[in-house]
Amino acid sequence: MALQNGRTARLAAALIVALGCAHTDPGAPNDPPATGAFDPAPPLRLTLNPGQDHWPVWAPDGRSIWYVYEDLDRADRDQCLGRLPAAGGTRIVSACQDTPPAATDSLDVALSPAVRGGRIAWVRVTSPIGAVLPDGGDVVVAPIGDPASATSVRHFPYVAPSGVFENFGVDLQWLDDSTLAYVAVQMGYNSISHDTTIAGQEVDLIHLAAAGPTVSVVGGTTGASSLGVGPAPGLLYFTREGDSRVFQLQLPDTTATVAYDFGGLGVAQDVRASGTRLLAVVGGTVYLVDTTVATAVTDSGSAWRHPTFRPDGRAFAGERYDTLTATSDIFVDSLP
Amino acid sequence: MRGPTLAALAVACLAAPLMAQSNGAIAGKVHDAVTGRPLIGAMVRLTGGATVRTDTGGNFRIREVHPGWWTVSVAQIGFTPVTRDSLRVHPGEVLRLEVAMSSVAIRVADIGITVDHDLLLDPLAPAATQRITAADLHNLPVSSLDDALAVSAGAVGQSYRGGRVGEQSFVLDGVGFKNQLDASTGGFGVRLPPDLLTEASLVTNGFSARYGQAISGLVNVVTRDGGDHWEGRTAYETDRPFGNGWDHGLDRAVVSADGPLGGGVRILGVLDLTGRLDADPVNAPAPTDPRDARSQSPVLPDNSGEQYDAAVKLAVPIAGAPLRILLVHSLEQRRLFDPAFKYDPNESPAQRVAGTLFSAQMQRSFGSGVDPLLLDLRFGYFDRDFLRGTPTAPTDYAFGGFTGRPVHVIGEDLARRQDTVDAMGPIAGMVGPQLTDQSPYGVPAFFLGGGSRGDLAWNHYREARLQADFTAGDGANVDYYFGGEASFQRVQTFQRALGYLPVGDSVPKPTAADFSPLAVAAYTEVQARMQDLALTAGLRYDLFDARTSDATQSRGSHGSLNPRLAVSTVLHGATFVASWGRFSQAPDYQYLVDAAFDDTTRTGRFRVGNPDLGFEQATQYEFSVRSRPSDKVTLKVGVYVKRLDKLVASVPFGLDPDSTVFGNLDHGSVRGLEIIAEREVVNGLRLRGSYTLQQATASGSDAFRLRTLFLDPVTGDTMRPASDEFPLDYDRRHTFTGIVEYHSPDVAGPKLLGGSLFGGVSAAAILSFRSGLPFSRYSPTGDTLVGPPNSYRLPDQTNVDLLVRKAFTLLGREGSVYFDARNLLNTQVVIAVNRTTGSAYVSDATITQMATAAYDANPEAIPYESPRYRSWADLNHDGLISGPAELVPLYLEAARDYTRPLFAFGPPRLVRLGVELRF
Repeated sequence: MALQNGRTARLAAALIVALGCAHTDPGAPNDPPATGAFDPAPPLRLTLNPGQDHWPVWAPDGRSIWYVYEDLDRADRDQCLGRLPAAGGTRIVSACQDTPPAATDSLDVALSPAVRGGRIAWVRVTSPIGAVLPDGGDVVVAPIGDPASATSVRHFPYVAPSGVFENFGVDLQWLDDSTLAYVAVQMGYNSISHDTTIAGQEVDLIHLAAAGPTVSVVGGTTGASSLGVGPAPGLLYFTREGDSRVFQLQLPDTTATVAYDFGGLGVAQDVRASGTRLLAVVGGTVYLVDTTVATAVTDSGSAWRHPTFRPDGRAFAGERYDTLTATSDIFVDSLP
Repeated sequence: MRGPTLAALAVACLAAPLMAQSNGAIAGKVHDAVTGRPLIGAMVRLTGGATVRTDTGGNFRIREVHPGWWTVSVAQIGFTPVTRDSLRVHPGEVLRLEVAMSSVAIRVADIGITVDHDLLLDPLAPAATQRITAADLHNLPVSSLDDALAVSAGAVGQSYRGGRVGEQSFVLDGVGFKNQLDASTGGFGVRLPPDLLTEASLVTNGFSARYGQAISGLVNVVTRDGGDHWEGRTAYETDRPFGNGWDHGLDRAVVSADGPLGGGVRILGVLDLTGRLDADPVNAPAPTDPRDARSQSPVLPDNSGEQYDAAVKLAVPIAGAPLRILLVHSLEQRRLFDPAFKYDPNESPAQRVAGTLFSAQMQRSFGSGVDPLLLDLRFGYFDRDFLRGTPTAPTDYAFGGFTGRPVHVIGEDLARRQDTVDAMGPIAGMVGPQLTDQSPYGVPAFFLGGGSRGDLAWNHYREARLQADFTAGDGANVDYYFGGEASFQRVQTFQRALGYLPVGDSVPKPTAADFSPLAVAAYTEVQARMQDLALTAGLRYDLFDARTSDATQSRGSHGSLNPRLAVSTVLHGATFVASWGRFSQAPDYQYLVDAAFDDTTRTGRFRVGNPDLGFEQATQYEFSVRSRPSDKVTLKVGVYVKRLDKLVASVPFGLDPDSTVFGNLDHGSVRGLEIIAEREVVNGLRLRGSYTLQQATASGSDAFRLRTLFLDPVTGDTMRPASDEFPLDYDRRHTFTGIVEYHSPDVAGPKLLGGSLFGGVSAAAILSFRSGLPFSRYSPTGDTLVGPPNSYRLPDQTNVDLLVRKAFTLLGREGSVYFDARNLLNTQVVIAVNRTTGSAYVSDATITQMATAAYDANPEAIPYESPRYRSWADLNHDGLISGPAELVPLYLEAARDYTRPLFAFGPPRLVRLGVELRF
């Protein structure tokens, strides 16, 4: 049967060479993500979510923005962490607290993401469906690439060493690689107006250590409503409930001084710091405070919250509330 | 020597039992070469085997000879010893040997001849055996033993003669093996590399009382021993060169070698590796929507598989008789394509099945007279480990479909510990699925991702079997067989559904079972030959005791007495065989234990096991005729009736609509006609054909009119018959299989480049036609049968497989290249249908209903920044896909894609190019 057949032998050799051929890949969807903002006109609108978008915070490289978005795909309307290209486009990362569709027995809300190095921290709060107040929450820390593996470093509700009862915290920010700061808040429910109110209490610090996290209270911050971390180590800026002033405090001091007073403009909120400049919201308008001069950087007719500096300080991201749709979206605009 | 003379000789001298036979025999006569008188008391010795003496007629018979090459020596005082070597013994056949001895003084040349006999006409040859030889496995377009068995008459895949899958047993070198845990749904778990085999056969009736555990048939496999000199084979085949559309990611490599190790020890080793990127390819129509992933490549994502089969066989001479030890290990790893995870890879389930099979056998002869008592002592061990769940890591392919790494699933340790306490909570690491944003349509519907379905299943079945088979004779015309076996088994199972959630109202409890059944059997059989008449009578007693842990339900052991009888004779050049037998098998043990599983359309479901299930039984009557219309043509015709009783079936359990319990409830009957014709090789051409006409029906009585309810499709009336008869699931009425083989001479056609263009070419084609299997239709609501059960038929199937091989010599080594094509004509075969539409597809109304429901559940707009946003769907370009005008079309496309009936279609044309070298 065997033949001296050079042609066949060469065919066999060719087949062996076929080992080097690659197989055809299985089919895969090919729908590239969007790049760039939907509308390039300033201020750059990053989200068009019919749900709520909150708490934008810049990634250290200034090329993307972490934020919190209400996920309308979910029956429980959880608010999840997301990451957007700073120039606009498709959301890069989504991280929700729980795993639907079965886990729809609670409203899970992420708050106040804070990014430093390779880690992201945020506050997550859980409410039973139909409840008027959250029944618990945590400050959690995770590798930036794996938010799902977050671990809790502070559980709420919590009674601080100062004796203050804390429903949860907001304005979470990194002081350094091992210290987180947040504004402790109490949440109340007005059964007549059917409204919830959040009242800032004080600034607390979470010290991350191998032996386990510990909490300390920053003295002199009673009534704090927002918090900004200054460029110098231990330098804090904060506002107080119903107060037009922005305070500064250099740890470990416990005596705050006034950094700026908006006076008759109204109550100061949402302070952030970058270098010698501050951002704060007064009456829904974002002001840039450069040494002693405050300049409105947004239209007075719009309502803004939670502005944050781009790391180079030349732009900010914030959430803008639309009174027509009653939703807020994330915008980016440049700063003078 | 032809016709009645040969047949008479066969009746008088041959003695193969009417059964699946792993061994053969050598029989014959010794006489004086000068006077012709029979030599009484001559010693006939099988080298390395038994020794017998001739009887008063000079006849001898060596029973239970292992298939292979043998040497026979004959010695008698005063005569020159005679030795014959290179005698080939086939399983189930009797080698006839005529030996003429010359006196030492006279010095006449020794004469020893083998007599050609016609096995077809042997009345004691197996009546319903269809053989697959090693040459068939090599020359036909088949890749495995299962492929080859599937072309046997009466086979519907792995269902034989209308029975269910798993109603067959597996006999390897005489040792019975069966996956007694879940043969009906889980397969055997060990794949025998074809290079290991000498021969395999499918025995669908009349198998010996020696064998049990089956009611549909036996797969009888005989492995080969290592040879006296080293030789081997290596082959590689792939579909890589064929490119997109024909490339399904196949790679297969085979290496086998055998030879002597010294000291009389011989070894055989085989390694057979198969990897596929698309392990279960389908011939579904290409999608019309270019966004469907299948429009880019027909290869389904997450549908890969890899199979590793390794076998080692040792033959070790001990005290003159070889001890044969065989170890086979198979590992199959699969990713199981799930349409819901079509656009989010790595979340579809993974499955790993590892099987180990070990057998050892030894033969002892007691006495050296005319009819020594033979003992075949066999030990078998079978271990099958099944695991399915969410893979712990994405599949990382190393070469084609091969990963080279074991698949692990989340919660594997928990499952192996059978920890039903820890498993009450969510399983660590398991994440529930979300509606993925990766589908081309973006909408949150149908397609899942980000987590798995949360199934976790593990089971482990082991059995150790001791088998003692005695063979004795009373002269040349009577054989006795008796013996028994004991099988010590262990069953462990674990199941958890929706493992990312804690057990609750909608999540069934985890289930686990651990028990050690015992199965024993004893048998006796006698075969007698009287001129043209042969009679086989056997009796087998089977007993099993599940010995489940639930003593309150189990009633102990179950016994079954199974008589078998066959009568055959030769008349006018044809052999007539009539047989009757009763067969029984223990139920799959999976039906004895509770099970939890997820019904994704409703809630978690719970299935209640029944530890008191008894034997499933069959009684079969068969009449067959075999003849040789001409020298080169054989014809076998058989008719049979098989009654099936006490088959396991499920019924609702209590008032819970989501639970069922099992019982020995079903019964039915199978009637059939089989015609098998073969023309032996003439001018290089060999033809084989088989036709099966079969009717397999179940009958049910429902005196209280509680169960059966169906709609008359014509009148629309609701029918509640007190009894009815309907086709069984494997009721394939007509099956035709034709096999054409051609082998060209070594030199044929024009010379080209020093070779012969058409010389050494062989081609084989398998052509088949199968009428459609039955199915039931349901009303659009899915809760009422339309017409009686199984009153509709799937379309008929036709198929052509082709293998063309060209031999060559390379560097002094023989080899070949081959082209193998399955479903050469790329016939689109519908193998399943939607039960409400009666076609492969769901109705447009159903798609619309699904889309509407999905839209109603998620009518929210999709914003620009969402990964779900599709710019082409944003018709008014406002950055939002919103409202029914923009969203509903997406939901419709998603529903159409999700319901596309991929696995309703059989495999497409599958081609491969291979090269083989022998050394």
